[in-house]
Formats: sequence, C-alpha cells, structure tokens
Amino acid sequence: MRLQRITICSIFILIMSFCAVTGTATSAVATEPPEKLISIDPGNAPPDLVMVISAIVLEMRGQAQPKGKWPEIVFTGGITKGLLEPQFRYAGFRLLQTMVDEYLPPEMNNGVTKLKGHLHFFDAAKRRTLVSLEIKYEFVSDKIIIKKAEIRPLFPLRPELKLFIVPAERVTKNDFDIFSNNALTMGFLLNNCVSAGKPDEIPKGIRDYYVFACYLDRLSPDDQTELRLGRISNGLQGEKLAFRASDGIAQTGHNLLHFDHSGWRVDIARCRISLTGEKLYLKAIFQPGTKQNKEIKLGEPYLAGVFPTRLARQVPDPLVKKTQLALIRAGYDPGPADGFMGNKTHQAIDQFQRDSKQKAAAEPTRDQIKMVQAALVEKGYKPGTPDGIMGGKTRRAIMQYQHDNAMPADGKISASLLKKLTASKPQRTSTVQHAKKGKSQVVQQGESRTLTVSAPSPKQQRLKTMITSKMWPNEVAIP
Amino acid sequence: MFSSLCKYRYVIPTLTIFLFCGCAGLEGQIQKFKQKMDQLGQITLPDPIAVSLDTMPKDAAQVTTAIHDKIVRISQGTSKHVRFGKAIDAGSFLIDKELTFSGAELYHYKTNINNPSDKTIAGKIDFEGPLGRRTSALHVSRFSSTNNEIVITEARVEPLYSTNPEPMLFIVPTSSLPNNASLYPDSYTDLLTFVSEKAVTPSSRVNMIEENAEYTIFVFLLDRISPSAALQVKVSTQETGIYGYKQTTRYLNFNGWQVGILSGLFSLSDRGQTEPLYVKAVFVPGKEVGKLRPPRLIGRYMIHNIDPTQMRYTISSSN
Repeated sequence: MRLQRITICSIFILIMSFCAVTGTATSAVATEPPEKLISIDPGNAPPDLVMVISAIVLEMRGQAQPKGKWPEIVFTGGITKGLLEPQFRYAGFRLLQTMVDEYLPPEMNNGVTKLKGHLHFFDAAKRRTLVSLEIKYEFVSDKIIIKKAEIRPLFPLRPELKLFIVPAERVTKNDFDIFSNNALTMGFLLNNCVSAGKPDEIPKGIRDYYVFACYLDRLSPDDQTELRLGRISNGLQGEKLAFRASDGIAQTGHNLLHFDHSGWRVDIARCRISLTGEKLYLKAIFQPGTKQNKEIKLGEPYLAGVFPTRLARQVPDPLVKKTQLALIRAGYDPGPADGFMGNKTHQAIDQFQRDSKQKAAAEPTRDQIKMVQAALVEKGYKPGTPDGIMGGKTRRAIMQYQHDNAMPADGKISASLLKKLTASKPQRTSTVQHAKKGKSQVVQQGESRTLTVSAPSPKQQRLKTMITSKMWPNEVAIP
Repeated sequence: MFSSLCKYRYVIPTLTIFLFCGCAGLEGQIQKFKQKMDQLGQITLPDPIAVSLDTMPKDAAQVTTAIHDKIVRISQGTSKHVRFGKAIDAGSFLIDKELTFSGAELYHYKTNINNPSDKTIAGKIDFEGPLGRRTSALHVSRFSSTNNEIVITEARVEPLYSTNPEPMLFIVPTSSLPNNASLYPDSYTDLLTFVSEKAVTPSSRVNMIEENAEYTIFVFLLDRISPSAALQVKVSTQETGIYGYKQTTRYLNFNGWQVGILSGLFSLSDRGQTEPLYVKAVFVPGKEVGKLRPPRLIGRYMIHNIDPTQMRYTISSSN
C-alpha cells in the first residue's frame, strides 16, 4: 500500500497553507518548476516530508529545532552552513507554498530519500521570494539524518513592483538614512506618498517629485532596473530618469539610486512632472542578469510596470502658461497660452530647441567672445570688460583691430579673426605706441613731457584675471 | 563760449529732441522721438576731432598734457614750454593716485580770427585704475602760443560723470564675510580685491546643491557717477523692467564710485527652480543730464533660471 502511494506520488506538489493569501501573483522564474503538478491535501503528505521541510525552514531562519515533539532531525556536518544566507534570515517571511517536484522514497533510492522542490515565501508587505530545495535524508532508528540540503534563491524574469510618488519637499537628506531599512522605507512612503484616492491633496502644477520603485520580488544583484518617463504607455520608450549627485547623497555608480534590502530593490529617481497636467507614464524597466541564472542569457529589457502621472483632474499650470507666453513672445506658436501642455506646445518647444542649437552653432559662443575680448585687451584695445557679451565696445575694438591688421572691418568674430588673434604675439609693453583710440602718447620731444599708458604689473594682471573670472555675466549690453 | 562748451552734456540730449520735433515731419516725429527717448538720461558728446594725443595738433596735445599734470598734481616734468597764466581750479576733480592716464580726446579746436595766436580747445582726459575703475575729466582751455611758449590763460576742468556706468556683480557666501559691514576694507580697490577673492565663480553654480544659502551680492560700478546720481540694486523674478525688491540693499560711496550690497538667502542652482531670479542694477542719472532723469537698467544678472527646454515635463521628440 505504502509503495503504491509512493509510486503514484513520485512527482507531486504539496501545498502547506500557513495563511490564506488572496491574489497571489506567480512570477515566471528563471528555473521553471516542473510542468506536471499534482495538488494533494497537506494532511495526506508523508509526515517525514513535512518534518524535514519544517526543519530546513527553521535552519534557514537560524532558529533551533523543536525537541520532543518530532523525531530528532540531525544535520550532518557542514550542511547547516549551506542553508544560511550571509545577511538574510527570512525573518518576517512566512512559508506560503511548498512545491515538490521530485520525491524518491528510500525503497527506490538505496535507502536514502531524495526530495527536490521550491519554497515560496511572503511577508506582510507582499514581498516574496522563491527558493529551490534539494534534500537527501535517511531514517536511522528514530532519527532522521539529513545528508544533503541545498537551497538556492531563484530570481524572477518578470518581477512585480509598486510605485510611490513623493513630493520632493517632503524628502529631506536625513530621510535617506532610513531608506536602507525596508520597513522604515515603507512606513515613510505610506505616510508621505501622493495618493490618487485623495485628489484634493494632490499638488498642482509642475513640481519635483521623488519616485520610489519598490520591487516585490527578490532580484539578482546583476539584474538591471531603471525608470523612464514617456509620453505613451506601451513600449520601453521614455526619458531615462536619474538621481542627481546634487541631492546630497553619495553616488552609487548607477544612474538611479538603489537601495538593496537583501535583494528587494528600491529604486529612487527624481523627476519634474505634473500630477494634474499632461498625462505621462512612469515606466519601470527590468532586465534580468546572468550571474545567478547561468542557464539563461541576459534577458531582454522588460516593461515591469507602467504608471500614469496624472492622478487628478487636469488643471492649467501657471508654469506651462509662462512657457507658452515666452514662446509666443519669441515668435513660436504653442497654441493658446492656456496652461495646458498640448501637442502644439510640445512642437513649439521642440522647434525652439532646434532653433537654439542652430543659432548657437551660427553665432560665436560666449567663451569665444570672451577669448576675443581678452586677446584684444592684451593687445591694447578697449573692448570693455571681458564678459562674453558682444556689445558696442567689443564690436568697435574688433573693427579697430581688423582695420589695423588690414582685415575687412565688419566687427564680427570670424575664424580668421580668431586665428589672427591667437597666432599673433601680444604687444604688452608700456613703451609701444598704440594707434588706437585713447592709447596714444606724446613721445619725449625736447623738453616736452611724455604721457604713457602704464601697463598693469603682473600682480595687478593676476588680480584682474581673478576678478574677471568671478564676475557674473551681465545680460544688459553696456553701450 | 566756455559755459556753452562746458554744458555740452546738459544741452545735447534736450537739443536733439527739439531738433527732431522741429524739423521732421509729423509722421516720422513720433517714431524718431521714441528712438531718441532711449538716449534720455545720457550724455552724448560730440564727435571727436582727435582721439589721441598724437593725432591732436601739437599745441593742443601740450595743453592737454599740462592740464593732465595739473589734475594729478605733477610738479616735476611739466613741459618748460607750457605755463599757466593764472591758477586753474581743478579742485573739484579729485582722483586717487592709482588712476592713471588712459587716453584723451579733442572735441573743439578754434583759433581766434582776430588774434591767431589765441586758441580755445575742449577735450576729455580719461583715467583708469589697474582693476578697470575709470573716470574722465572734461576741460576747456584758452591759450596763446608763441614761437617758444604756450601760456594757458584760462582753463576749466570738471569731472565728466558717466551716464553709462558699467556694473560688476560678485556673489560671496555671507559666512566668509565679517559680521559687521564696518569691518569691510575701506577703499574701493581693497574692497573689490577682498570681494573677488571670496566670491563664488559663476561656472561653479552647476555643481551647487539647490538648497538656499546665505549669500551677499556686491555690485561695483567701474565708472564714477555724479553725487546726484544713484545706483539701485534689486532682486526680482521678472526679467524685464527695472523693478524689484531693494529694501535691504546698502550702498557704499567711494568718492563717486558706488557699491551696492545686498544679503539674503539665495539658491544659485538652476535645478529645481520654479521661478527665475534676477539681480538688477538700476542707474538713476544725476542732475547733469537735465530735468528728465529716467532710471535705467544697466545690469541684469540671472542668479538662477528655469529653462523650459530642460524641464522634465518635456520629452524630446527623439524618444
């Protein structure tokens, strides 16, 4: 009878329901569970199997085995170490499912029982993890001797996550100290995140927010995650969100700030969005790594989650209105200045960006102007303070220089002018007679006195250079 | 003659407007008047007939040199061929020793028809310090030249105050400044040196965190302005216009070279800003420009900005 039952159940699944969890999501895992699954009543499971798995879970948690209740379970040397993860004890996690995919009774395996399966853990925050299990044990009188026990965390190819949006002003530098703790992080997020269920409390207009992507599945260290902001809900397209070093937190080597809670990752990015404006989509992109799942290749990026940014009824945004008015003033057509970011406004901004680039390419840069001004000053001309602004003084000084050097005196910065200015040696000496306006002197003639323009000393020159570098650029051209 | 030449700066702006109103047709009058309104509050000097000493007539250059020497009180080295017939009053024109000659222009050179040896000149002498501080003197001189000697019979020198002063703005962390403003260096050059040593470099703002910090803003005028003119330093979120918050600005006046000082909590970073912030330097011309003295924006400095193209809100079309 016993042999018959074991034969039938050579492959079966045992479900031990320690708690009733509804809506359990089953993530696809890198190592797929067996296709043939048989559910049986836990009451019908072999008692030795229940006892061994319970003992394994206790070992994984680093807890002592119960005494007196069950037959003594003995782990032979070194096995216990293989059941412990360095920094994780599954504390707070409950064993939801035990999936057994191979069970060889001692009669079929030279007196040793062989068991292969998976353990599925959950915690109160609905975080979950899957562990593969391989055990060999035998009965010796009233003891169960475990000869082999190996566990291996399995990482999902399709993880799930929750996204929280927190106004930037609610996150202080000190808060980042608690984000290394999962429970504190969740507490913080629940207290401070914006909720679609409270539309009256949703901030209006474009503001800075921190986006927290909290993965429910345990991820491999080499899995890659990122957050993007896109206009369309499907596809991976979007602008990559980053966490800035200027937020006062040490760089992590990633574009995102990652907090790794024993494999449960929390990605934090900062973005500037409106929760009451144009509907954009925050996208969590996941790319499985290979380190822990050597049997598979690096997976393709996968859209792990899409979250619309508009959480409340759209309202006009004063900043968008300002932008639209500025675009209208600049000669663009962003549509009516109504404070709503529509297609026309987007197109006008895109056009403005393109034009700005072209304009920047056609006109000398501020640095170039500054360089020309500095070179002119060095040569005794008077383009005013080298501030990088093309004003009347600069133009006149360029014309004068061009005239003196037999160049077309158009007052414009050209490649030939730059070449000439940088190639020729400076004429910095107090004895040279300048032909430029205001730089001429009376040379000693008989008893006549000489008026000279004194050149600044090296110390004064250094001081002037320092002053110039510290001056803020003036947007008003001085005639 | 003297007074009319000396009053160039008083007369010209007003005269220009009247000329346009009187001569131009009614159609073009308004437009031209509007154009000329931009020049209100400024001194427009006539076109120079010589822009350097070596392009001036020799006697005019010698007289200009002698006037210069008188201004800076050089007793030695003055040309033996030029002397003053009577003492001139250059007392109103006091400049520091560090300001030295930087140029001269001649606007008027006239020979008396009845007495060819009697001439009148009007010109400008520029002075500049090593750090760019500058000023000018306007002089009108009558002199008689003989074969071997020039005698300046009459001369009048007045400071030519700038109506287009050039501002320089520096931002200094308040923590690096003395608590009491009375402990600041007491000369323009020392203060400018002190401030520029402590000031933050504009290019360093990209690395700055966006939290507000206490900064002190210094606006130095490179040009000397008249006692009746004023510098105003204001903070505003509006790009245009001359208005802004100015209640806490303090001013130092170094014999006509003014410095505006404004302290407050500022963020120098563009990031995370919902409003741009500008520091505006406004110049109120003095009495020398006439009765109409409209304040004018001479400096606008963007402390931080919002850039529509940098907004996270906008996604580039390449996505």
